[in-house]
Amino acid sequence: MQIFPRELNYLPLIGALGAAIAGGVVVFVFWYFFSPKNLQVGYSPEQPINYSHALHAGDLGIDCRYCHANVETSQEAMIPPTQTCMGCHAVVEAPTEAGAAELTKLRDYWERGEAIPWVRVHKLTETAYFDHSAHLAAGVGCVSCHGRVDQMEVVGVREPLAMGWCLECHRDPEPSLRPRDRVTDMDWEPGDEAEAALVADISTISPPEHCSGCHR
Amino acid sequence: MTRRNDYPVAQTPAAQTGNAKPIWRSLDDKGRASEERARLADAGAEHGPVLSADSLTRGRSSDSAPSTGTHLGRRGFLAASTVTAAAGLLEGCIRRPEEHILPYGEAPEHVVPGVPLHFATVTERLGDAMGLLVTSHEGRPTKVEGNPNHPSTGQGAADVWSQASLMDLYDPDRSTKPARSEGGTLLDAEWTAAEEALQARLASHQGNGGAGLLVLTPPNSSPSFRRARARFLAKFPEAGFHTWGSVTDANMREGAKIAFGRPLNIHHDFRGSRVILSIDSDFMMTEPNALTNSWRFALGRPAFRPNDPMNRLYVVEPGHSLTGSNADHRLRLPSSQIARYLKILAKRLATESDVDLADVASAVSDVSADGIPEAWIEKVAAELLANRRRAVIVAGLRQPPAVHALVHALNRALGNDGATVIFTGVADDDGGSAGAVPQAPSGGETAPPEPYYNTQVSELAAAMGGARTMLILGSNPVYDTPADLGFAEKLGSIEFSLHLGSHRDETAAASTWHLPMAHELESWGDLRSRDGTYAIQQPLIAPLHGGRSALEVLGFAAGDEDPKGHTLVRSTFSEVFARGPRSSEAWRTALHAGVLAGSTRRPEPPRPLDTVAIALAVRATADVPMPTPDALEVAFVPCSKMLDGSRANNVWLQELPDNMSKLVWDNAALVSPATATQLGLSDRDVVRLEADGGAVVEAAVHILPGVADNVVVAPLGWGRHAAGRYGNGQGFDFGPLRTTEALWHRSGVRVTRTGDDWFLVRTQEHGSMHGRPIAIDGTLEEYQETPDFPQYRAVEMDIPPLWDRVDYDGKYKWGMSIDLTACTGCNACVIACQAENNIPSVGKGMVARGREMYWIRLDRYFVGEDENEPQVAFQPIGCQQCEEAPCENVCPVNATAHSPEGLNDMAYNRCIGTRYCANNCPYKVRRFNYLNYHEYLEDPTNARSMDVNIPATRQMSYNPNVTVRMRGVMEKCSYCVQRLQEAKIASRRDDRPIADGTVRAACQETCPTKAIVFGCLNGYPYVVRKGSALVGKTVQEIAREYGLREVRIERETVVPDSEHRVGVQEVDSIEGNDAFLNGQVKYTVYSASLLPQLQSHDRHYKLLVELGAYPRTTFLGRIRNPNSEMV
Repeated sequence: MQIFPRELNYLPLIGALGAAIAGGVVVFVFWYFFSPKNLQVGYSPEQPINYSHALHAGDLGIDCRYCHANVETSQEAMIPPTQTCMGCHAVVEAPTEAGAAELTKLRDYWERGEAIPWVRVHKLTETAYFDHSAHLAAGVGCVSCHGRVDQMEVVGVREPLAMGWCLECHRDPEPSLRPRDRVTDMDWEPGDEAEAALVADISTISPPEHCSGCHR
Repeated sequence: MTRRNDYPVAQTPAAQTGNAKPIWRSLDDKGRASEERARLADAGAEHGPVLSADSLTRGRSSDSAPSTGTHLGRRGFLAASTVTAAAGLLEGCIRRPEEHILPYGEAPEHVVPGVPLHFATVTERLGDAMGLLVTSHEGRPTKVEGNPNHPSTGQGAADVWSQASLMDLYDPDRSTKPARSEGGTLLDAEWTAAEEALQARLASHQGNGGAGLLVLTPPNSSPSFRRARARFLAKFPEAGFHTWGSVTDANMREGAKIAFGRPLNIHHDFRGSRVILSIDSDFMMTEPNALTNSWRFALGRPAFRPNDPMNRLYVVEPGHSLTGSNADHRLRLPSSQIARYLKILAKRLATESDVDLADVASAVSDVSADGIPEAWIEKVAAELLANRRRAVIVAGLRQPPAVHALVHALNRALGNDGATVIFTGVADDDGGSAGAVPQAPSGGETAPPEPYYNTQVSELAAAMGGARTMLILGSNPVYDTPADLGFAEKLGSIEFSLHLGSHRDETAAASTWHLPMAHELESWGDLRSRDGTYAIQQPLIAPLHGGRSALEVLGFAAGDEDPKGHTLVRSTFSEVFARGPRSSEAWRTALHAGVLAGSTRRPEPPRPLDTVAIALAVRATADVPMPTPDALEVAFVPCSKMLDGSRANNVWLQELPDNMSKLVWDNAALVSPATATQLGLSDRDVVRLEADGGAVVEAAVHILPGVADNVVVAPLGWGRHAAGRYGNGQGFDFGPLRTTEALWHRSGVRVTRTGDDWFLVRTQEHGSMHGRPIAIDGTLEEYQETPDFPQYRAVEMDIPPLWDRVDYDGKYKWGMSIDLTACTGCNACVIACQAENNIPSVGKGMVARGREMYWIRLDRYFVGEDENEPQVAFQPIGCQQCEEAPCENVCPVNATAHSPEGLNDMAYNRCIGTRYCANNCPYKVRRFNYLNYHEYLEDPTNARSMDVNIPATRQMSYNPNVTVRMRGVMEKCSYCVQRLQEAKIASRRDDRPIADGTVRAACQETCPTKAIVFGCLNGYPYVVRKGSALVGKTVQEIAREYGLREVRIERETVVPDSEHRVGVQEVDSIEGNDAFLNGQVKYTVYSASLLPQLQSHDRHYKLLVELGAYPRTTFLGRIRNPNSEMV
């Protein structure tokens, strides 16, 4: 007397297969969608003041270092003090009404003596000690990690900023190198021969690949 | 637990050299009952005794609290882990929390975010000034070093107290608001109310010129403070102005006053002295100018060539001071007998026809030599006589003025005056209270004056009887004045008493008003050091809790218009020190340098010696009988951690293992093994010390080799009950036994056991090497015979490397050398490391389980057969950065790995906490975060949490360049890798090679004797890039322009992806030719390092070479210089 039909013999097999596939899917979902490439890239939070890098760095062509003044001497690129904004905007007015509204916010912060609570966009894990000055001294351009900031209305993350991504470049830095005086140039292409020769100066830099290079 | 066989090589060193002495860590180690060792034998220390989870548990076994720790069962664990997993999943799904960056509105000058600034300032130490250089990260002081410009720092060292002062600044128990006493309790009040109350009170004294008005301050060498005092006394001429410090150099000044007719500061040249006789002087640790003394002492015994002249240190003292533990010969003698010893020595010296002691000779003629070894009279006298003008006798602050005066007479008679002993005028020559200082005796008729500060306090006690108002500015007299004064009682009967202090301490509780005092890093001030150098104290941060300095409160009381610290100091500067139109410039220069150039006093020419006064003073010192088991002598000593107790709530100092006893979180009544046996005391017994007049103290006994027999050594500064959360109830207050008469030692004390015992915790057994010879010492004779004797003492074996040797050619190759001859064991490196590397304090209970987190273990060994009279050897041990590191091989997740620069890297974020590495480390230098230690002391119940919720003030003290390690992570010495990285980056960024000595580990930077040398074994390589300023320059030009000692340039051919360097050639200059510009050749500039010379020095040895770990740190064996005639 058989209570269960014969086909049910395959049930464990089907179940196991299903579990394996489901497991695979779960792993894939986590591995792919939960990777920094998906979690980090594209993060562009709303800022307290709608500041446009596309306008300032792109259209007006202001050099990155005008505001991020200490990027070549400090580990931190530094968000500029409100004072830097006011250096121009004490007199410079916005052409549009929307722009004027943003400038009012800026001047209010300045007058209240309050820090502008900018929202952090690019963030490495706290166990990593990234040094801007070291990278600029080696000839890594801003654009390599931050993307075309000069085209961003709202700044967002363009690269995964994960350890694997760091190491890609540390293991093979050549494609990211440029002459040291062109590091803030967003359009730079390795074309000119003389410049290419400078890039070939690879033997003088030694990007660390060991733990204490970044973790202290 | 496995049974361990005796380590076979433990016996070999003696066999090899024939004269090595036994070396031991503790009495247990020497073969006594080994309870503690049994407990700690398991290095994991997990199976330690069940202790109360309250890490600050009191030590008395009868009142130990039941465990309050939460125990996680299996179900609880599963539940918790499920929740954690779910939470992790959720947190992973959503985006990270929004985080704000708050830039400055208006950027302060010179502040570059991410780049620390350094400011010179100065702090008070035993009435002397100590120059500091403080690191500030965006306005937060995070690290205190010595200011190399300042004369008190021995070229840039800092002592444990200045370094740990950060923890005083960020102390969570600091007083934050003024308070008014109402019905015995302190109620918060506002500053305005306090100001009004003080103003009204002072106004009531206007009419009577300040009669009944008293001020009490600690000794202070600040010119601005003295000016404010003068203004105050001008306004209130009848007021009393008094000084009191528990540990001061008052006896030294008084001694000089007897001998020379006026107080003088005494400076000793330990560098130029061949023979040093210390009469109970701890000149390397708890006395003024200790850092410079240590530095000069170490310079006087270089031991780099066998025939280097080496000084010899004789010490006479009751219990091991730091100086005594560095002695070549040490005589244990009760404090009361030390004067007698000196007299006998003087008597012996006076027998020489060419030693003229004048009247003094007769004063010492009838002294008896009972109980003093013959050799200590004859041989020491012979040494002093043979080294005239090159010897020095130095008396300690614990000895009475007469002893100091006699020492002056001896130094003069031996020709040391003006050669090795130099005098300068004292800063406050006009005395404490105007006109109250007794005039110096001019003839034989006047009796020698009473000790300086004692006079003041007994006078003060008398004055307090009729006082109506009292201002106590910055001291805690209720705790630290002699018991017979009954200070608290007298204070209670004063109508209006105001206490300015950092804490609401014992004195605050007894006063009617309390004001919070600003920390020395928060306030403006100025100080003159003992040699007169003027230094400005500049604040590193605005007062965290709105406190004010003693100077500001005094200025306010004096009726100053603008009693702000800056105004007062600035006006002193421009009116006294730098008058004229260039004053502002001089001010800025002095602020920057930390000293005012040209303010150092010139040494005084030798003054005539008042031998009559000295003779009188010496005659007046009655000889006290030797202590007996029935009438012991208690010797009060300044604690090597607490000093005088004012820093009792400093968690770093509380946990720091004491230099000698290695006790943490406690002091104890220290007795010698012989006395303990005689009295039937065992370690940790609580005893009752009773003196005449009903004074009773209960304290735990710690048996410590090296204490004089029938003497109890009592470190001061403990047993506070209103210090704060860390300091309360730790250790024992010996204050009740201390009286005006018996300020430094008390005779006739009886000891009885109470039957109780106390949980004393000490680290001396931790990290035991099980008999392996690692701290190697020998005598100068041995060194001259066999210069490389340490290598013979260590067991040399030829172990083939386990892995392929790494090629460090052309790369950084970091290393360290520690000279044990220079190491004095002062603990400064331990605190420096703690501050630099964000090392938490873990509490007494955790230390008892062997879980202290110090990256440097400062081992203290006893050397010699006699357990009552051992010699001492110190050895600081951090990670040895092994080439073939045993820890790396066993890490399952590669969290500890070798760097191409030879460092043994530790990646915290990768560590999963298996602790395999710690188990496999032969040097026992790895530390594991068993609990969430950074907030453990604040909240022990949160110890197992992964939630980090560290108090804000504690967070402010962190070095932002070092990870704050969480629970479950292994850590260890990293050679201060953050400093190495910064130096390398700066070198590339600024296009300049690293100069030797500019990259320094924190321990090296603060070492007073420069025992620790850090550097690069290849020399510091710098690869020259295109467009570098170095191109086209020669070796000499580079050396000159960049301040490098020695430069070498190597040219090599660039072959991409080659494993070895090709065509390496040494060249004289960098040629910017086509081959270089096209990237075909590469130049590397090496600037020389001192380290390779030290690592190949005859005296060098590596620890446990037989294990084949190839450590990167090497040691230089300790050389002693005993007198062969005294052995």
